[in-house]
Amino acid sequence: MELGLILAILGAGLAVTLPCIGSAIALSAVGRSAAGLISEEPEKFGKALLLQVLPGTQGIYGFLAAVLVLQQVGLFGEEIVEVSAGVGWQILLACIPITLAGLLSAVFQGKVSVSGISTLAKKPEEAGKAIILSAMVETYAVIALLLTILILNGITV
Amino acid sequence: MNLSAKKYEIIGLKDKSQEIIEEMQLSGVAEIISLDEGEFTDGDLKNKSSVELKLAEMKFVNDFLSRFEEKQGFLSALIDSFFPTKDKYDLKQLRNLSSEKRTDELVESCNFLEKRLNRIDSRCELLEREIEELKKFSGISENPFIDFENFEVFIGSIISDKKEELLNALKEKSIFFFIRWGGEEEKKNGFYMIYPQEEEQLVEIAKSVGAVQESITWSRPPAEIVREKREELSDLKKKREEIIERGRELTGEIPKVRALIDWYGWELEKCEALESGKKTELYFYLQAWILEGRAEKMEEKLKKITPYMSINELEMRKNERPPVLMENKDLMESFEVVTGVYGAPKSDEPDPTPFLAPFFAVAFGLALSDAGYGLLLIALCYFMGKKLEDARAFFNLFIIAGAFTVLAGLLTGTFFGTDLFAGLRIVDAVSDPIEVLYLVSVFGLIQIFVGLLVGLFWNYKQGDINTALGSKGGAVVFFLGIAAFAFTGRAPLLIGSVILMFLLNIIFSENENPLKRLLSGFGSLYDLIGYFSDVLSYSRLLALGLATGIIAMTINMIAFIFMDMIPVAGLNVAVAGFVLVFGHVANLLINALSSFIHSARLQFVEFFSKFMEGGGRRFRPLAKKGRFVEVIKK
Repeated sequence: MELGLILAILGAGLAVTLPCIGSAIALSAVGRSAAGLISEEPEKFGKALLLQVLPGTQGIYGFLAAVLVLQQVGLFGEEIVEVSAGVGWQILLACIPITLAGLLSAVFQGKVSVSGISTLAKKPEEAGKAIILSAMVETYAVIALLLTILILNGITV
Repeated sequence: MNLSAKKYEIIGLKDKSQEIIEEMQLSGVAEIISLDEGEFTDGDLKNKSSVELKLAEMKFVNDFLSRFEEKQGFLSALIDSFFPTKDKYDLKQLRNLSSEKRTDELVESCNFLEKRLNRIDSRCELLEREIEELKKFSGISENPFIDFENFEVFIGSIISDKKEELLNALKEKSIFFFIRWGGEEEKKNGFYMIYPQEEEQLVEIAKSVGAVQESITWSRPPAEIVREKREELSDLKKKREEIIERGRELTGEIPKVRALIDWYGWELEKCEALESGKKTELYFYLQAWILEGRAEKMEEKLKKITPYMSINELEMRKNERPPVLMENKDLMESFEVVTGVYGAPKSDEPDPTPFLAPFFAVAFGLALSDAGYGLLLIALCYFMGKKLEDARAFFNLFIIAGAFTVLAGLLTGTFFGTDLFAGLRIVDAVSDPIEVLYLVSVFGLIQIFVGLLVGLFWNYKQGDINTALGSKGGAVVFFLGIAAFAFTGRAPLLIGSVILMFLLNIIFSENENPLKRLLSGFGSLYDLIGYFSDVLSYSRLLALGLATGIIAMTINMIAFIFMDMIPVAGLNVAVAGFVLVFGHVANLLINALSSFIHSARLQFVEFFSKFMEGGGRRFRPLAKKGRFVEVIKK
């Protein structure tokens, strides 16, 4: 296998794996505190679930970047394209923003969501604010994803 | 629009206080102000305690009977946690319900059943523990604790695999011993061993092989004890089932009990309202915030209860802020859901709902941007809105947002991730994201410009001319400069607008000191960075739109891969169909949530900051609004 293709696959793999790990860590933390709340007030399950799924988006963003990479190198149902080492490096670097920002922002968004569970427990009518506060952290994953998409879009394979 | 409240005092005959508060609750336009020097009498306290007791009883019955209620399905429990269904009652029905004797009987029955259940449960727990301890000896049908002269009894247990080893080790010593095995429990055997008093070494041998001494004695054979305990346990479990059955029968009363929880909640609210005021022997005195223009009508109604009462407007104290109620009609009411997440504006700020409505809908549409998803969202919300009338405003919001999603989907030519409407496509987000980035940035510029205009108008209306023409006016001029530059390409227009903004900020600065005025001008230049980052923030709409579209495309691809991979005709179509349905519904739900949150954030952070601070206190009137019940008029 050519080095270019190896680097592109590495980029796609990292873009999925690290944000997914971040999302899993965050979802598990929020899930644990949500389970505690539900044991007392099961009727708050819906809103707790909402707070839990929020940091899950980074995993999806990573997956999205990976799909774009796979499409670009023809690994998605089409013929594999010849990828030079230079282009492979470019693709790998393009994946870095969402890989790192996805991983870290998911973990930190999870922490805000965990605090949001306390808001839900004490003042359920203010749960919407807790959701927005948690979503503020995600902004930076969105910006990173945007950059990854724009760079990938500019790379000619 | 924002409805402001005014401060009033309410004075009336004490004997009629309950009826007056009840009428205020029904009208739902007055919020009681708690007076620091509020007074209450022994009678009030007694009344409040009895209401609290009733409320506690109803909550207990509800908690107890809920244990036997049939569990809801996952989906209906999920919907119920967001939009709880409410039973409809009129006041007469609720009043009759509260005076029903059967309610007291129900409390007694539940008390009795709960006590019995607790007793049975703790007895069962004890029996299970005892049986657990004795189980490994349950094969022993004689009592070894008989006084054998010169012999001792050792009670122990050993892992089944070591049984043979133990016997061989004991036999090696050629000393008389008798051993009886008690039955196997989780690979452990219980036993007792009778051995000569002076041969303690047998016990040591047993222990060295792995036998553990059990500190247990029996007055009767263990087999008999275990049998008896098992019989008792089985009897108790039957009784428990009977109680549960009785509990299940009583679950039919749950709706009434829940209605009474709301009823006594309102009664308690009445007591607390009266506690917040003052009293003389004959009269009561309350202060309340009453919505503007509603006091006269309320006074008319209260005068029908007793002519000996009056409502008078009071002067507000300095820095006192009245609570705020946002009231919008028809479709605009749906957008209150978005404003509600942020909280209420201050009483002297505009209600942002009508201003955010079009921008929120467009932002949501651009973030989701798939015509198929838009149609699906409209269909789902239409169906849910029909089913859950209380939440109709919420679902209407998504119907409107869905319509804009259809438009955005047609603009980008995506329909469930396919190119079905590629002919209608104006911009292609996947192949030319920069074009969409321009589009969302222009959208951001327009929204921020509108925000500044609203701010300018509002500051001007409030008499704050300096802010209106200085910071807001300057920014408006700058945005007009951007527009002029964009249309004509002439840079001097943009530079001129920046200079004009700088000058406006100096001229209309509130500072007297010329140096500070100059600093205000430079401050306005710094604000430009803020506007730039505000506009950049709208790029999220591109990223979210791409996320929806590309994941939808991926779902289609995966479905087709399955279709080609599975060789069995029919099965491949079924699997592909499942992937399509499940994948697209999940993608819609996740991305609709993201679109809502991020579109709302654009309103709260980028838009609201141009004309309001927020942080107003919501108007919380006395009202018969319940968690379980909706009061209807007959």
